[in-house]
Formats: sequence, C-alpha cells, structure tokens
Amino acid sequence: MWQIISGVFLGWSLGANDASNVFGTAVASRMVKFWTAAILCSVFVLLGAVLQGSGGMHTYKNLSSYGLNFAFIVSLSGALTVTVMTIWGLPVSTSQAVVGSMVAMGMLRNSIEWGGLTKVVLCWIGTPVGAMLIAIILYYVVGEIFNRIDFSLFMYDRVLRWGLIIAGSYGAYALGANNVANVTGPFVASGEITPQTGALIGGLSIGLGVITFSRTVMMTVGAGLVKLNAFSAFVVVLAEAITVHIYAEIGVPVSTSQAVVGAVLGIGIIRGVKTVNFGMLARIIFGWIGTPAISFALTWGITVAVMKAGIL
Amino acid sequence: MSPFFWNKSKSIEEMIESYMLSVDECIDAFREGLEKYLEVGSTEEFVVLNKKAHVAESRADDIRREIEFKLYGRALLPESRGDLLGMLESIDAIPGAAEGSINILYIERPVIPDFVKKVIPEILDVNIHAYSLIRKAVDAIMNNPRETLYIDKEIDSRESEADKMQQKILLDIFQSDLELAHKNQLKAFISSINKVSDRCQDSADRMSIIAIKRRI
Repeated sequence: MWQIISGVFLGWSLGANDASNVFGTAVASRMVKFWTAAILCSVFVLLGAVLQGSGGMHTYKNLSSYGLNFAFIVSLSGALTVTVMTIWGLPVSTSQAVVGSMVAMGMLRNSIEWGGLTKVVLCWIGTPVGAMLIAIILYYVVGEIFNRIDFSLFMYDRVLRWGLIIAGSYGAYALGANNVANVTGPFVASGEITPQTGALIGGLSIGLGVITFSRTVMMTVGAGLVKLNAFSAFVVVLAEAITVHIYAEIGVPVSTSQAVVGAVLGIGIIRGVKTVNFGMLARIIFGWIGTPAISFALTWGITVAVMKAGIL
Repeated sequence: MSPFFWNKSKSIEEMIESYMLSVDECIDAFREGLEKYLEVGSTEEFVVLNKKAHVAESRADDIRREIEFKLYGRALLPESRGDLLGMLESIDAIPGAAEGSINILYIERPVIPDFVKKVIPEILDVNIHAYSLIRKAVDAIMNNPRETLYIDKEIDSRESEADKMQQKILLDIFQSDLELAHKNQLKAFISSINKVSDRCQDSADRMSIIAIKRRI
C-alpha cells in the first residue's frame, strides 16, 4: 500500500492550494487568524470528505479501473502536473489533472468509459458558469436583505465577518466532499481501498496540506479577493461553496479556483467593474485543456516507460 | 471565537462613546467660555474654561489614537476600519476648531464692540446646533446609518446659515470706524467660530459616504 503516498502528496498540495479559495479573504484581511482558519478548514474538509466524498470516488471508479501500481502513476502524474502548473503561475485544477491522468491510463489499458468522461468535462465548463449565475442571484437576494435591515456600522461588520467564516467553513466542507476523490479516487478505482477509507485518508491529507503549507497561498489569493468589498467577497465564497457542493452531490470533482473566478466574474457583471480580464479567461480555458493534456502526457509517458523497462 | 470578535468591536463602540463624551466636553467648554468672555471678558473663570476645552480636546485625541491602534489590531473588516478611521479624523477636526477659537480669545483678548457682541451668540448657537447634529449622526451610524443622510442635509443648512451670518457681520465690521487691525482681528475670531460648523459639514459628508457605501 506504499503507493498511496502519491495520493497523500497530491492531497497535501491540494490542501495547501485550495484552502485559499475558501478562507483566503478572511485571513488576508486579518479578520480571522491563520490558525483559526486552518483548523476550521481542516475540520470541515475532513467532514465533507468522510460524509459526502464517496460520490466522486464512484465517478472515478466508473471512469476507469486498474491496479495499485497504475493508480500510483495516475496520482503521481496528477501531483507533478499540479506542481508544474503552480510553478508556471497558472490556476491549478487538481480535478482536471487527475482526470487527464486517469484517461491516459484508461486508454492504455482499454478500460476507458467515455460516457462518464463526457459528464465530467461538461461539469468542468459548468463550474465557472454555474458559480457566476449563483453569485449574481446571491448578490441581489442577500443584498436586498442587507438593504432592508439597515445594519449599523458594527453590526454590518459582524454579520459579514461571521458570514465569511460560515461561508468559508461551508466552502471547506464542499471542497472536502468534492475534491477528496482526486486524492484517493484512483486508489479506490483500483479496488484496493474502500471509498470510506479513501475519503478518510484523502480528507486527512488535504487537512495536513491546509495546516502545514496554505498560509502563503491564502495571503496571495486572499489579497486578490480582498480588492472586492467584504460583501462581494462573502458572495463569492458562498457562491463557490454552493457550486462545488452541487457538484459533490452530482459526484464530479471540479475546480474550486475556477468556481471562484466564475463568481468574481458574476460580481463584475453586476457592478460593472473589471474584476476579471481576458488574460484570466484565457488562463481558465488553458486550464481546461492544458492541465488534463499535461497530466495525460505524463501518465502516458511514465506508464509506457515503466512497462518497457519491465517494472510493471 | 464569538466573545473574541464581539468584545473587540464592543470595546471600540464603548471607546467611541467615551471619545464623543470628551468632544462634548470640549464643545461645552468652548460655548461657556465664549459666553463668559462676551459677558465679563478674560476673567479667571474664562481661563479655566479655556483650559478645560484644551484638556478635553487632548483627551479626545488620546482616545482616538487608542481606537486607531485597536483597529489596526484586526478588530474590524478592512473597509470598516478605513471608514471608521476617516470618520474619527473628520470628527477630530471639530474640537480642534473649537479649541482654536477659544484660544484666540485667551491669547489676543480682543475687544468686542457691542454691535458684534449681539450677533456672536447667534452665530455660536448655529455652530453648537451643527455639532449636536453631528452627535446624532454618530448615533445614527452606530444604529441606523440611513438616518445619517437626512442629518447631513440638516447640517448643511446650519452651515449655510452660519456662513450667511458671518458674511453679514463682517460687512458691518468693515463698514465701521474700527481700526483695520481690530477689524481683521474680529474677522479671524468670527471665522474661527464658524470653522466648527464647517468641520461638522465635512464630518457629516464623510458619515453619509459610509452609509451610502453600505447600500448594496
């Protein structure tokens, strides 16, 4: 079972990166201490993974199936792709990296399920679009409630601060529920571990990434989001959490980063400000195509090489 | 976690209240001091009131600085932090103006002719009224910010009224037989009283912006 180490590594990097999408705003604006956010995030990621994470595992299981050593290569390629994309400064979608990797392995082993793949790819496109629509609806509905209540300066502050913490915790839950399949899904697909065990190991490794390495990314991504006012930031986090949670219910792992960008774009449409530029959109499109393509190529290359060398 | 957040902003609310009490004290001393000077000139009692205005203004300054430090220590959302700091700075100019005005009397001891003496209490009343509206505006920001917009309009009217009164008395002063230096001295003193309502207007505008910013 040593092979699962690559999944744990992937989970760790996922936690380090994606915690910023749910708690970045609160931490970067110093509304919540890093440690408070990190602990809340880890706990809710684990809860989400254990209570609702098995849906994505089943999707991956339906996508392809193979042995433990191949699952190791799939996870390793996914993790390497995420690392390379991070170095290039491109938005990283662990889901897209893992699926690209799984498709390569499925094709090599003639076990690919094309129907499942279509569903997954459609969900990728639906993530930013869905988050954008949800953000627009939330902005108007919650905004109207705020306007009617006429909160005092301090009450407005308190409500938004708690809103960000609650939305962040919900986002962490949705992240765990949705993305845990990326971490241990390939191993569950190999049949070596149960979805429940996979969810527990995945949830713990994401939590470990949050606790040990997410501070820097939280500050960077969060500072970018803080340029929005607090109300818009709250709407963005909540819209992202709802979107990702919906996909967890459907059982398709999607990108929290792309959900955030979609939600920010929704705010931009309402407020008529330039919150997302074309460069950012180009990066998302590259993320849809480039990320799975790179991990596909890596898995293909590594698998062919080790098979030729007679290791597998 | 709840008590932590709650207590921090709760204590800031309390500090703002004690800050406003110091400003009230400064404005009261300013009003009483001016009235006393017009009545009997620079007596021992007037000196005490001048000192009282100065002490209250300094205390308000200290409390404001303390609030600033507390705010930087992550007590509020960044935008609320900025708004609150801006609001306090704008309010701070009001006791500053009042202290400056009473201090002119303390240092220069101008002779106030009777025709000016009659008008100053009216100008003073309008300025004090403008400040009492600021007090209401601060309460509104703390409770129902939309109210601030109406108060801002009222303060604007008081400020215009004070300007008109100032214009009229300055015309009378400069058409009188007083020495030019004396005229200029009185002009500076009357303008210093009206700075109170000017600063009230600035502060009310600032508070209105805070209320408007929170409309979604």
